[in-house]
This record gives sequence, structure tokens and C-alpha cells, in this order.
Amino acid sequence: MKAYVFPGQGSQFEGMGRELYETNTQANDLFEQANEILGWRITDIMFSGTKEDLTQTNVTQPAVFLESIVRAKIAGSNFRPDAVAGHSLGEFTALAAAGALSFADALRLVDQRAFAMQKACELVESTMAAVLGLDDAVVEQVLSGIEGEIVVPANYNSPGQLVISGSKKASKSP
Amino acid sequence: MIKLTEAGARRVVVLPVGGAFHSPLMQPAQDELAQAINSTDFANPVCPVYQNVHGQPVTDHELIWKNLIAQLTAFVRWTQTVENMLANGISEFIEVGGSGAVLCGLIRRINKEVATDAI
Repeated sequence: MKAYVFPGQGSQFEGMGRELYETNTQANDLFEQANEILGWRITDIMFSGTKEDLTQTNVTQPAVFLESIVRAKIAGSNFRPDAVAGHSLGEFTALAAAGALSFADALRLVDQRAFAMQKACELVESTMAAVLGLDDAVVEQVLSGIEGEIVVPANYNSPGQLVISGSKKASKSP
Repeated sequence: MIKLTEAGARRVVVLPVGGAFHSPLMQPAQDELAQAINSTDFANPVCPVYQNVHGQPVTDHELIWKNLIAQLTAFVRWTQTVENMLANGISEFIEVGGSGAVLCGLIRRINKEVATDAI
């Protein structure tokens, strides 16, 4: 049985989606629909923006969603999942690909999610870090010993890779 | 981060993201997103969707949107998601979009034998 999986933030790259836009009419149409729904040309940043442009949360999230969902849509009848899953933001893409959300609704939600998250980020200086080569239980124990600042496990990615999330103060103190 | 290195971490890599996603610091964003999700129509998906909050397959759209809201301040159970998929008979994983290597890389670390591909 086949599962399709959809990545989240961190999988963006310069020039993402450009080849699809230029070579596939259905992809071209979906990208233009997205520009219209958002009210700004996200494709300009995806195709010719810098790495820094693409790292802004309010750009990264719709960009990653869009490039993934277009690939699923143009696969047409070849896209026959027995199951889907998405990592973080990718869950929205998984839901759109599996028909639980329309393309337009999913894009709108991703856009709103990104803006809301960006706003929340501006309230407290915070960040994320990947902890490599340590048992999850040990990381959890270290984090639980940090008092006064928020720092928590955020992504249990694979054995030996746990991403943690919290205030910048906490990341400096431990 | 020094404490984590002292505890034996091979490396601690700060990620180029704007903030503390999947933490209680995202509570204000969660409240805002909940409103947007509540006013959006969801349908039942064509196949089970394994959701981040618990790594379990879901097909009922009434549960899907609740899990989608909860996701923003909860951690992502990716390892468990992949393990549950394998236990339920998934034998091939196809990553859609991006470099095509991010999730496939994680999946191979969770299970060396499983087939992975990207489109």
C-alpha cells in the first residue's frame, strides 16, 4: 500500500515551482489561481526570490503548500493514495490532496495560519533547534529542568532527531 | 543548548525559522486559526489522513478539523505516524514536493527497508 507524504517548512528552495509553471498548463493555471486568491504574486518570490525572501513564514508556508499541491494535482489519476500524512504545514497539503479541503480553502487557511504565526512570533523572541544524536527521553529530561522559560519538544522527527521549540532566552541559558 | 550538548547530543542546530512553532507560544495564532478553520467546509477525505497530533488515521472530517487546530501548539509525532502507517500495511512512501528528500530521509531513519520515492 502506498502513502503520500507532504513536507512542511524547511523544504522551500530558490526557483521552486518554476519549471512546473513553465512546462505544464494545469500547473500554470493553479499557480495563477493562487496569486489571485492571495492578492499578491507569490510566484514572483517562489521563482526569483532569494533564500531569505523564502524564509519569511508568511511566504514559506503558502509557497511550500502550493508547490506540493500542484504536484499532487497534476499527477491526476496517477495520484492514488491508500493513506496520506503531512509534516506540520504539510498536513494542510495532505488534506487538500485527499479531498478533505478544496484547493482555494486550503490555500486561504495556510495563508491565515502563516500570518497568525508570524504575528505570534513577534510577541516573544523565539526559535527552534534540532537536537541530533540524543535519545528523546534524555532531551525531555533536560528540557523539563529548565525553569522560567518556555522550551518544549516540537517535532519527534526520527530516532535521534528531536526538534525543540521555545523562547530565545531559554535557548541561550541551557 | 549547552546542557543538551553536555547530556550527549552530537549537535544542536538552530533552525532558520521565525519562531517557536508547535509550542505554547503559538497560542495567540491558534485562537486566530481556529476561527478560520471553524468557518471552512471540510469533507471526508478519499483515504485515511494520519494527523500530527496523535499519528493516527482519521477519515471523519469532524475530527480532522479539531486535530488541525490542536496541531499548532502540540508537537508533531512524525516517528509514530510513520510507525503506525507501517504497522497498518503501508509499504511505499512517496514524498510530494520540495526537494523530495526531507521526509524520505526521516522515513528511512525510522525504517531502513521501506521503499521511498518522490514526485
